[in-house]
Amino acid sequence: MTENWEKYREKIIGLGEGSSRKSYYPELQDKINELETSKNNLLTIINSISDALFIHDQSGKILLLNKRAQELYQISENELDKFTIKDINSIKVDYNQLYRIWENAINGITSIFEWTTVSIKTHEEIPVQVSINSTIWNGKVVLIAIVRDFTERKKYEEDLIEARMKAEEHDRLKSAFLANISHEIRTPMNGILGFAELLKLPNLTNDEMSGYIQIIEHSGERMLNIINNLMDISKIESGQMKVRYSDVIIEEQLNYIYQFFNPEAEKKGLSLLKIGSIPGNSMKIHTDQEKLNAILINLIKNAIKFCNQGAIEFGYTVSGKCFLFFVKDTGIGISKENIQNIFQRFLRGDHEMSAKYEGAGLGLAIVKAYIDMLGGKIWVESKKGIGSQFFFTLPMTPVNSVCKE
Amino acid sequence: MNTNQDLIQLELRKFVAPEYIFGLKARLSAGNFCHQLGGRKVLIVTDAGVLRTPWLKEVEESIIKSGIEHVVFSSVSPNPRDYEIMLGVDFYRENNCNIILALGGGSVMDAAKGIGIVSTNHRHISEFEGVDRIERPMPPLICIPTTGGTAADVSQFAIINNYSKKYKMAIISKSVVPDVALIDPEVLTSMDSFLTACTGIDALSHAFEAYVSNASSAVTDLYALEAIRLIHSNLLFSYQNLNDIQSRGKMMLASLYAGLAFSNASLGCVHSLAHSLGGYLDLPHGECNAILLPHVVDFNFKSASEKYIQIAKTLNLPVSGLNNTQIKNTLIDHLKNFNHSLGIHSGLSDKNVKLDDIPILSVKAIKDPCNATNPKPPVKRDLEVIYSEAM
Repeated sequence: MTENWEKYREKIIGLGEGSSRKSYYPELQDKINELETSKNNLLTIINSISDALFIHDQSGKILLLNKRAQELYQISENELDKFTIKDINSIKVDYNQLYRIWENAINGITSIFEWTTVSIKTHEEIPVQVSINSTIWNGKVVLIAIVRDFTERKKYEEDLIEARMKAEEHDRLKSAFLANISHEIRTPMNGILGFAELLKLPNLTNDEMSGYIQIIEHSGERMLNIINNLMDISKIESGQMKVRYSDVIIEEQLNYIYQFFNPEAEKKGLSLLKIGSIPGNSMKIHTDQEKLNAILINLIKNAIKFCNQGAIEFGYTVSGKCFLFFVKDTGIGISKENIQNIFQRFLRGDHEMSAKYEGAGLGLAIVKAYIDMLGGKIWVESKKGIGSQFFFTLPMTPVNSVCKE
Repeated sequence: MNTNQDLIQLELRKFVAPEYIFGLKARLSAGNFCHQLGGRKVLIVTDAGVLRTPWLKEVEESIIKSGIEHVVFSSVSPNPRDYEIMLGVDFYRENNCNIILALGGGSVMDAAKGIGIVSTNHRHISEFEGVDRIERPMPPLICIPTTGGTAADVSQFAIINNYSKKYKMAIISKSVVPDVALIDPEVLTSMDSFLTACTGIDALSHAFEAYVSNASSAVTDLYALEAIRLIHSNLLFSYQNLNDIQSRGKMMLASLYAGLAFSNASLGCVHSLAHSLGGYLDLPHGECNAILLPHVVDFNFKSASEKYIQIAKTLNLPVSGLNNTQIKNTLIDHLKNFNHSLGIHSGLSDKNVKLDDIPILSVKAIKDPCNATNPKPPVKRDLEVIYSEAM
């Protein structure tokens, strides 16, 4: 050391490299930079998460909220003074429950729960899942609420519940249908077998015999009808039903229907009226003739079936690029409760009706499926005890056009 | 035309001093300063002597009043030892302190500095021996001196006893200058007459050495000469009237002036020799300085004669018409008489120093950085001679 007195002297005077007065500034500056970086990172992370985040005190005063929270509740950062956490709670919520959750969080118990909040601006309800924790923020005990928007999820949940109910209803309907169809098949079958048995009896008169045979024929037709309908429905359900287009002269088609049903109507004492008909009108529709036929047959058959007096009217008008067909009766009508269900497969008006009128409940379902395929729409207006009016539309040409009401 | 006497010091110099409050009851602002410096928990460093006074309780109350926690570390002996420093650091860390307050004399303040250095630099205290070796600043340090000599409360020095190697390590760094000194003359009243004499002479030797130091400056000279004047005219009275608060105040001021001077201009051979004595034989620092000062004046006189003559004039010694040798002898005689009047032993032999000790003492003393600023750079042989003459 003795040789270097000069060097030491400089340092003693305070001219050495480290000979300044003690200063915390460099270390503090580093720490401040470190803290600022970490704060910025934290804010970036907070603003990147897809859940809304609130930091608020025990009075509900909001100290910080992330971007998602600003979007979800439509609060901007400079409006923090105007609102508290209570402003985003639905009026339905139980505050005592919320305060208990806050207290738990402060005692270190995290709660995750479903809650109902509202948007500040629109007051629209926002179902959410909330996770609440507690921390120290600028020396104060605060709560951190992470809020996940459950709107979509709630919707899915509701859809799922609805789908399940539908599936259950469908299942129930199928069971009811099976029971019904068994009955519907057994009745004509009993007729066939029973009257075939009677035919074996000796000494039958010609009249008796031809009467029995007529009943067997009628029962066979009824069964064939049911089986045809069943096959149609099964084709529709499996997507195998094809549409075959051709030009159909509407007038001819309606005439055919009229001639086909008029005897049956007269037999029942009903008048069947073709409305607005101009003989020789050659207006054409480009559609599937068989299906149009089936639609009209089903509707008129139903009208005759459920009508005990009065008249059945049918016809069509032109409505824009569509034809509007109608079948009106003065029958028993359909109750309000049942009107929505009548086009559903396997369903008929109601049980009382099922007992009174034969039928498998497939007709209107087939009608609706056909009209859907042909780009049209069907609806019904009815009053119980007064009568029903079925309307359906079909496009004049099916190319890219669909007829709705 | 400038005469030679009008020329001023133009070499680079620096002056560092802490913020200090001087005056009665200054000690009671301890709590306020702990608060201002960001104190959460204060380590109060003190010693057994101070525990017997009312000062500690008053300071504690002041800190409590500021709403700050504190703990007391009082295991500090005179000539504080390296292991005591390390124990103090453990205590500081265990209690999670963030600020240090020293209440005591030079030993306590040096110990507090040592604890501060180690607490932020995490190495043994002996690694900081020498000049300017502290890398990281220590925690805030507030000093309340209870003796009127050491001026560790304003200085860049910390003297720690290397207990196993039996020598005093000088740690010199601007970063050990405390942040705040609360200089309260009232606390000097707890010193007895011997301690009053020793610490007074310690301050005088600080002023002497700073004034003749080769690192002195115009500013340090101002303080050094005023300190010499104050001590010369007040120490004896204070020694004889321990409760006279005016003379205590003047001695406290003198100690502060001497401290500001030597902290910036540093010291010389009196201190390198005294550090060695204190470390090897654990002798009281002030008394050693008192005995050594006249002999070091003898050794240095030729290298700084103008300065010594100025000191003699300040002491109102009759110097007109005398040649340099005569002035030197007058000054030396005066110092010896001054010691005598204060009841201080005249020779080292009276303090049980043996002739055989001198080679060992000199080996240790020559390594002391105080030699660096002595007006005449000493070699080991010089120090042996001074020791022998001081026997």
